[in-house]
Amino acid sequence: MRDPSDEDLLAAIAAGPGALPEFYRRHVGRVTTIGVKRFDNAEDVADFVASVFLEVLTSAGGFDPRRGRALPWLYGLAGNVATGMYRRRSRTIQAEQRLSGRALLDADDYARVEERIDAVARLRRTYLAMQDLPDQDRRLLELVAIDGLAAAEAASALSISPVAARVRLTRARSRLRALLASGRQPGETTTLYRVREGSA
Amino acid sequence: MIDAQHFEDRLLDALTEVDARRAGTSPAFQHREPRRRVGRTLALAVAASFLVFGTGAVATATGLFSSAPVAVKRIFAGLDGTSGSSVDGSKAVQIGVIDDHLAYAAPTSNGGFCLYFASNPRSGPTGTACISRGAGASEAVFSVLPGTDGGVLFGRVGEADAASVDITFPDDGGVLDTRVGESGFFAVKIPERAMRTLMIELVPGSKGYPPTKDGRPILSFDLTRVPAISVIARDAQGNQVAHGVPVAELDPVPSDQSTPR
Repeated sequence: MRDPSDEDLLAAIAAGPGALPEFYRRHVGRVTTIGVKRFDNAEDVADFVASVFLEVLTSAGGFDPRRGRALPWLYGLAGNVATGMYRRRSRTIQAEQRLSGRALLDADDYARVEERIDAVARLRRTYLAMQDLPDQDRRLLELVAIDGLAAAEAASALSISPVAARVRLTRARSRLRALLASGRQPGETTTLYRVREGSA
Repeated sequence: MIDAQHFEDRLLDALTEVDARRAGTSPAFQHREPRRRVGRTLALAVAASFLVFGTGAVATATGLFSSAPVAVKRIFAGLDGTSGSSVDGSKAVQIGVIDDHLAYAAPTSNGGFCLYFASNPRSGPTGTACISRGAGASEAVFSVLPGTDGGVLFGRVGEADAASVDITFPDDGGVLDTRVGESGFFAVKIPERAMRTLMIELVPGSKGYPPTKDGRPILSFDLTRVPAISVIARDAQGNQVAHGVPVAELDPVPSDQSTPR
């Protein structure tokens, strides 16, 4: 009898309780790695990991195995969660506290996560610089340059063709070089909006 | 000696608890059969909405207006509304599926409401947006949440008899008809053609805008176009019962501002 595949587990998670722990055990290390490449403190990393797995619970029903494997899907979802956290922070809208990952950290966890954060500081600077790219280019470049997915895997995660992915990657790298060459600080030109009451 | 599993174990316990609590609580967690996707077609809007460009196309309604799952209620509970209001996460309801994103709404203590569009790795808008203004008896407050490859028009009607809203975009951008759901909420994915009427063209390479390949202009959402959208709420007999009130002031927020208004 074979172990359930990740795709099987996502289908089971969508169907009801029970399968999340196994999916979590398989991927919590990977998701933490994604987090330390994007956030520079242990608390945000912990919140990120918690949010990603809560999103897995919410979004597993939307996974379609005919459109790709579970792993690229997870990377895509994690990238969206990270983007959401960054934007909420930029917009100064309070972070969504669905499940406070940071509340689960103890002193040993801080030290351990911070070691990992320090180890990928250069990648994180690149990630920050990418935040000024158009969303679709940025999401693709993140998956390839930050998370190490192959272009075809990243294409699968974003539901685009491998050819389109290669074109976008070329464009994204060119734009990133231009942004870095312009000397702007990462995030400086990011458009920050929030909705507030207006008049009729 | 560092116990390398402490955080992970505690998080697993917490997630397992959340997972167990969702047993039979909400259709939002029920498995949905994957549906066919044709290119970038945006297939499903909220409720029975349809786009009218000469001929209409009817969309499907599924799982609408059920109570939101616990995890989503927690999201709302952790949000602040605007103007110091609080969000009542316990009253959050699922209001539809927009471009593969589950959409939820919850009321705020000052009569407004917040929307949450669950993330989806594929595409489209995601995130939260709040409107602090309540809808009067003859009003349908609405706003637009711009997304990566489109946007969502969402709002709330104050008139209890309202059954649907007609949404007319400027510059022949088209007309949408969407159902009003529980508590007067409505939301609909804005088609590409209509979204273009809400955008302006920016010159690449100027004013800090990045250059583009072949110098094509950059399209950017223009909030000043939102009041040009016409929204009319109608009752089941087709009579107008409320007029649209745009809540379209998207305010640039300084990045060093530490607290929301």
